[in-house]
Amino acid sequence: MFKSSGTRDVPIAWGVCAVLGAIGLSGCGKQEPKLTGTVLVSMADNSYSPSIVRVPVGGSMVFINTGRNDHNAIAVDKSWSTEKTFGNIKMRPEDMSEVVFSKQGVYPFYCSFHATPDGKVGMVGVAVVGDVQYTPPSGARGVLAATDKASGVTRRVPQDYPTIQNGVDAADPGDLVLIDKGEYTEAVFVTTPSVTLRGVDRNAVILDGKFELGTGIMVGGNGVVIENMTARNYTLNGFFWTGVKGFRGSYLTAYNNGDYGIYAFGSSDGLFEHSYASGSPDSGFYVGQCAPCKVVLNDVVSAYSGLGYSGTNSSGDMYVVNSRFEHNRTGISTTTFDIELNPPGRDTTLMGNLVSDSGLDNEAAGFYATETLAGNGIALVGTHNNRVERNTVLRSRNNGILIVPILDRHYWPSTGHVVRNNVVLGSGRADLAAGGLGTRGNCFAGNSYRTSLPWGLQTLNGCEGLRLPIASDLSTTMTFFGSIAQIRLGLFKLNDYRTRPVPPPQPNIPGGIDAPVVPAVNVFAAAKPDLDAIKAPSETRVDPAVKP
Amino acid sequence: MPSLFSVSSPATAFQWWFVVYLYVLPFMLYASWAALSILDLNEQSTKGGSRLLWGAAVLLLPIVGGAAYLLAAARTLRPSSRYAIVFAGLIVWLIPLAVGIWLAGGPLGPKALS
Amino acid sequence: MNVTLPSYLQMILGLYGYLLPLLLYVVWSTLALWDLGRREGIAGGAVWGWAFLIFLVPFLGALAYLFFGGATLNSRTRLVAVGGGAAIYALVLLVGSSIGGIS
Repeated sequence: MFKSSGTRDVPIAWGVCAVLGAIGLSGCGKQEPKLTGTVLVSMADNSYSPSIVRVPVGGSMVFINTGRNDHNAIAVDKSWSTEKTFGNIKMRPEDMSEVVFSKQGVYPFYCSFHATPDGKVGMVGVAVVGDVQYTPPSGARGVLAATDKASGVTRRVPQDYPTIQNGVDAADPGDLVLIDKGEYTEAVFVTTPSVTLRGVDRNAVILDGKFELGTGIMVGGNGVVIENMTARNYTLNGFFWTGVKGFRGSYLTAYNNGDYGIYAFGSSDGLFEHSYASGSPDSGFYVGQCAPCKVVLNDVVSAYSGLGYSGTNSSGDMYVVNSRFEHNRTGISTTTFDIELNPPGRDTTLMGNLVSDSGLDNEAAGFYATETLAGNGIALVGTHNNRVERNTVLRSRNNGILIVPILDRHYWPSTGHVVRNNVVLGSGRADLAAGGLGTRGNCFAGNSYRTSLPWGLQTLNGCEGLRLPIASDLSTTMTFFGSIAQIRLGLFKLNDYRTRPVPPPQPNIPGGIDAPVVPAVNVFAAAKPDLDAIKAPSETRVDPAVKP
Repeated sequence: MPSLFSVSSPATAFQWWFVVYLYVLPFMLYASWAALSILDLNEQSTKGGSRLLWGAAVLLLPIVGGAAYLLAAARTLRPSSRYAIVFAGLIVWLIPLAVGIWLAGGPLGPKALS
Repeated sequence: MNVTLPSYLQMILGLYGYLLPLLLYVVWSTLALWDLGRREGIAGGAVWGWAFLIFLVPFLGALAYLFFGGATLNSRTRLVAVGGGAAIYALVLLVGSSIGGIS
């Protein structure tokens, strides 16, 4: 994770070039486009780089996974894939796989974990083999445009359509797909914009992946709303939006899914509200790679996960408010990684949240990457200019609120954060901690806490008044890097996400099946929280609370 | 323009106790006793393995190594002064540490002074 | 939305700003204890008294001994150690506040 190799252009093999040039099939010596015998394609989280790849006939592409998650590449027409031996469809981080192209043509391909099988949405690319014309489709996905009005049409599953996917495929923008009680073993792809999927009963409409299917519902269309249902036991995600503008998840429950519970990637203008995620080894809620995001998480609960909420390279108008993050390995983290686009992360607002029992020897799931941060309540890792106000952070095993840099392919310091009026108590190491070289411009004011490292963070790094250059402490960074080393040595224990506690029944959407249908258009304008009205959570007891 | 003389919020007694007795003073005792021991070792006329061993002990065993050397084997410091240097330091550190832990019911205990 | 990452100079000055007070505290106290430990002709009680003062009162206890306690150390060495250390810290603060962005 901290040693990924970058992409390099493989120098042209002159022999291959000469031969192919002799038979007029390669671009050696021509200016554009430049065809090389072998092209390195890097799989980041979640995109191919380059995504349009030209190779000569007989040339090859070497896929290398430079991300943190598993990926693959499969041709949409199924003629080739990176699966070299049967059963190895997953390429782990740093894996390589070479695919040789012997036939001329245009081959769209996709990653089965992060894209729709039609190759249109998500992590997709195109292999152009030989001397063929190829122009990428212009504009964003889809011929159908998003609409902000409900169409009034309801398509019932299973009454009108036997499967959720059937209902979704038949839906037009603005339709409501209403799903009746039952257990559905489906992996649904939604590419039609402005469709609303709603369950009649949040706790009785269950999408169950049986630990074989990847994602419960994967959305590649703008304006799609998913409400009032549960997704569990998927090997990847419960509910996943990728590359969209306008999205909403309301009254959702996602538990015991193998990657993220409720997840938005490369998407903007969205809202997750009144939802519950638990038992994800990575994050319960995850918003990644957006700038500006214009995304709000309001009144959500995340428990027993590696990270309660995680935002990587998510910047600008990113709000996590009025929510609870309990019994996770780390409560809330904002991070920067080079493997996603638009580093560094910045401008996230965390307000009015309750974060408790982070990293204690408890029932939370986790995986190696989340273990490096385990034990921190709120961690601001290599990000900038976040606002952390009126949160309550209790009983963190390590630090309550931590500001620390990260060393990925670059060194990212963590600067400019405002930490005000929080209640941070009962941390194992320090309630407020700032570590690292270049950690500066952070200010602390009005917090109720007991311990800080370095001493006097609130006194000497206040938001008004005295500021001495005693802003950060090396021991905090050393212990963070030490935990990274420990993880690389494999010295950690993980709980199996498949056996995490099942959440109790959760409240249904008000109005039930007759609730108004509102496609997710201009979501942020309505959802943006009134920051002054947000109150700190009322719980402040340090003594362990009674288990629910 | 921030004033040098205005403070946004004073540190509490507990925070002061925490950083001095659990962070700064132990570090200070380790560093100064190790330094004094190394200086003393440097001036000893007999070279050999025991000097190397003492040097390692003083550096690798924080506080304890330095105290042991100063009490047992230091040559160039006056004997009575050695006791003063070691025990004054230990008293100044350990007594408020113990008192603070007892008062708080554990170093971060529920009754920690706020 | 723009972020200015700290320059190398800012990072180093920020580090020194944190480390120097701690370092100077330890160095001056050690110097004082070293001198105290080697002195002949000082009453046992006075040694204990100075030792307690040096430990109890950071910075000032050590400085009091070095300059008013009859230290045998060469006075120029004392001045360089104390004055030099203080001067370096002052320099860090000065350069730091003029280029900004270190705290």
